[in-house]
Amino acid sequence: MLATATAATLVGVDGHVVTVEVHVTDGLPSFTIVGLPDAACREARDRVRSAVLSSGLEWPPRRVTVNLAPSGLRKGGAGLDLAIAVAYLAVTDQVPTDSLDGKAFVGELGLDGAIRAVVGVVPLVDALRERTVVIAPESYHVARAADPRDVCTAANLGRLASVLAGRTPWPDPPPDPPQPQWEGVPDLGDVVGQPLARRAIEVAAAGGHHLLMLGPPGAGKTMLARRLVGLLPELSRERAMEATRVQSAAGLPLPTGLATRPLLRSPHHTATMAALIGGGSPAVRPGEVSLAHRGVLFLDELGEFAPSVLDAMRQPLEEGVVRVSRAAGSCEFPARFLLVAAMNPCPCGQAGRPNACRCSDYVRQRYLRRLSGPLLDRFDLRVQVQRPDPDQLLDGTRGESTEAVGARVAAARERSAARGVGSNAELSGLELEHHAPLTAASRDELRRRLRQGLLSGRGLKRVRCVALTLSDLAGDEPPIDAERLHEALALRASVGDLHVPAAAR
Amino acid sequence: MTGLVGAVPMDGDAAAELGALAELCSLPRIGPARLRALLRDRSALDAIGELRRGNAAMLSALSACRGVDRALLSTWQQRASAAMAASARHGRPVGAELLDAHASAGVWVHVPSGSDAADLWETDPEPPAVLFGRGAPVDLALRRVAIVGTRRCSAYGRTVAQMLGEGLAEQGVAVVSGLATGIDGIAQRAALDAGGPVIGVVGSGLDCVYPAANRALWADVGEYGTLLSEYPLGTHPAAWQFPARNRIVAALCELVVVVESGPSGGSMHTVEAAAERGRAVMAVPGPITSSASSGTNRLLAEGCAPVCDLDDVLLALGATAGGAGAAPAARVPDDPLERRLLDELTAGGRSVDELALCVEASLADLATALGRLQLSGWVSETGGWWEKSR
Repeated sequence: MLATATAATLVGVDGHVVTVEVHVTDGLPSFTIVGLPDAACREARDRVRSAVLSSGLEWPPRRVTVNLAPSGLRKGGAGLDLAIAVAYLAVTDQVPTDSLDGKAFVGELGLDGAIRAVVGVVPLVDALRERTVVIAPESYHVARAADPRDVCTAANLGRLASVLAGRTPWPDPPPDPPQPQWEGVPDLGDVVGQPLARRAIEVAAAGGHHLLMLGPPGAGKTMLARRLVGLLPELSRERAMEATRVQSAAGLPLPTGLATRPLLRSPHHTATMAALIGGGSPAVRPGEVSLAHRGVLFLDELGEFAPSVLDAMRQPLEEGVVRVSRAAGSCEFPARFLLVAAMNPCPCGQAGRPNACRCSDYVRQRYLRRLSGPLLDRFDLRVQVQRPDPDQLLDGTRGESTEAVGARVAAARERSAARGVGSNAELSGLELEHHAPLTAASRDELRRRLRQGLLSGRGLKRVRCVALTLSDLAGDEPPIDAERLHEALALRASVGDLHVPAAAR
Repeated sequence: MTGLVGAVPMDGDAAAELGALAELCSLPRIGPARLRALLRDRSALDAIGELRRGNAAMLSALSACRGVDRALLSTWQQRASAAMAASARHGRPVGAELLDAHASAGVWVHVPSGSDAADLWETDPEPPAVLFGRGAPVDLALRRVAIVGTRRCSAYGRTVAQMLGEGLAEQGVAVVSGLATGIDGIAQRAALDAGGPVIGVVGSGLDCVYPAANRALWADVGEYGTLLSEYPLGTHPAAWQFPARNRIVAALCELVVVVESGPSGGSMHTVEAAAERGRAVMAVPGPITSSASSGTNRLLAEGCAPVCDLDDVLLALGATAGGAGAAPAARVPDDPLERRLLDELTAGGRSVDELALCVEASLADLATALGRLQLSGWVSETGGWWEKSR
């Protein structure tokens, strides 16, 4: 006697449909699960049997074999418990076999029969969107985010069995959870002084330019990074879904269901390669670069991260995806994020202030050598952030609020969307020539800088990108005038070539 | 003064003596003072022999040197015996292999005592026992000026070092320096680029580049100028070798110019060494708020002659500016904001934020003004800090 139920398992950030086949025959009583289950999945044996018995249902002593198809796919976690249990109930005629048609079951079982939430609900439900998905009540709102045909919930296996047997109707879906208090992202108006840093986060938000803040600890770099997230516009449904899938697969809480606000991730500098990029074995998990997908990845104390970990970020920064390959297979995670980094340019805490810095050239160079040139090149914006002046802190007027700056950012984002790119930072050289022509004066200005060695070829392109964002923010039409260029140049401090004498450059 | 600091002519005896000398200065932890104690009233060949035999008078003289203990002495004695045993085995003079290694690396050996530059060294309180060199010999008929300064220089210091290096080179004056990071290296590079004679004195073996970032500079000085060291090939840099090196810089020049220096450090060692040898010292004035100029300003307060332009140096040297007119005066910015910014930057490096707060201009205006000043060379930027460079 055989019955099947449909479920799904998580591979990376994608759900894969799994057919659970349960076969019950006469013979020595046993319970076997085949089809590449991992340890947690194999333990379903004990959970399912106890849950069935605790729910007042029967478990006759017979030989039970469970197959998880496709059998070549490794199944992890306890999410298949529920499907195994209902297929067992169907094969032992405790629920009608046809009641499982068109449905899918995702949930972990408690020994008392309770149905519990699992990690990765959004991608799992997304893979099962053609069916009615039965799920734990606490996952209901998150599951709705994936927009499936229908979502039903049941608090425990006993209730579910009586619904499937047609004895009771589906329980009402749980009430909407209280909307989390909008603790919001702190307001930009709280930042006193620091005009350059304020400007830099506005430009970063508007143009998607990666930002490097140079300054001592305590200068308010983390504070600025938090406010940068507040400046980013809400995510479109499509992008929010991309971000939600990753966050759900990683088991992050999703209080609002679909994550429409960009997320700020700030891993500590001891993060390993697997934590930052993604990895792990046997189940590959997304790393911080993917959790920050469509949001902001803030790396404080950039100079303290392991150089190999930082260099591994170059590929996702370039391509917007991470491919993690392991012997068992490879996964692709989305990773299009805004990188914001903060560091002290030297270890002494004077942040390289000329004549105040006590570090020897050797120490400074060694500190900066951890950042490879190609990585530094990715930062279009590099600004010096100092502790604010005490007078400013006490008497300074509040700056512009997040709302006012956010409106400018949104308008600028719309202008760049009209060019067919997500943000100005993604424009290629050719597109720049087309969208951001230069006035004769600014062309001369750049030519002189290139000639004097104050600007590199790559720097030239990035400066033009930033100048275009500045002109978008101001609502100007191209061509780009010299004033915008100067401001773009001022937002790009020279880092990494500190040892080159200024006059000899 | 005349003479050449360069390779000494070698006949058989001299070669044997030179080999013994090379062996002696390759001994571990042997410095100029210990070497002098070892060579007092005896030739290098005798010294190595006596070291092996354990001449009591010599050993007690050595033990009197600070930091020389029994263990070090016995190491030296073992090295001396090993060298003499090797020489006997191969039937070659002591240290012949060492000399061959230097010759094949293009390094010549200069021994002050027997050379025609003896005048220079005779009056020196601590002459080196031997100098290893690469490149052309130093012609003492050249005018020689040492440009020294801190390794942590400001943009102002860089500009001055560059200006002096270049200007002296154009007048055919040799620039002597320590090839260190900062002022030393910048002045040498500027002088090299201007095609002038350069003399670099380093504190490690000629093959042990320190700092590694100056590798290209070492190679260029060795090729187009003279690279000198008291230490044989393979000697790694050690902290005590740098002050010792500075006394040779002071000995080789006629005049020391300190561009930027803190109140203590290598440049001040050079100044002391120069004073001991009767070399004139000049200092470049700097802002009193800049720690990189605190040492030079102190020197000025103590009566040292100031360097306000290249002519001051040439005048002190007794050379004239060869008809080269003064550099055209730089255009003083007429924009009020630019002038204001220059005033603000006089006191030292500022970040854009600080400037924006004190001049109360919009970021765009500020950026434009700074950009113009940067292009015309008035200011420079490193790591987000803006500094006045003239």
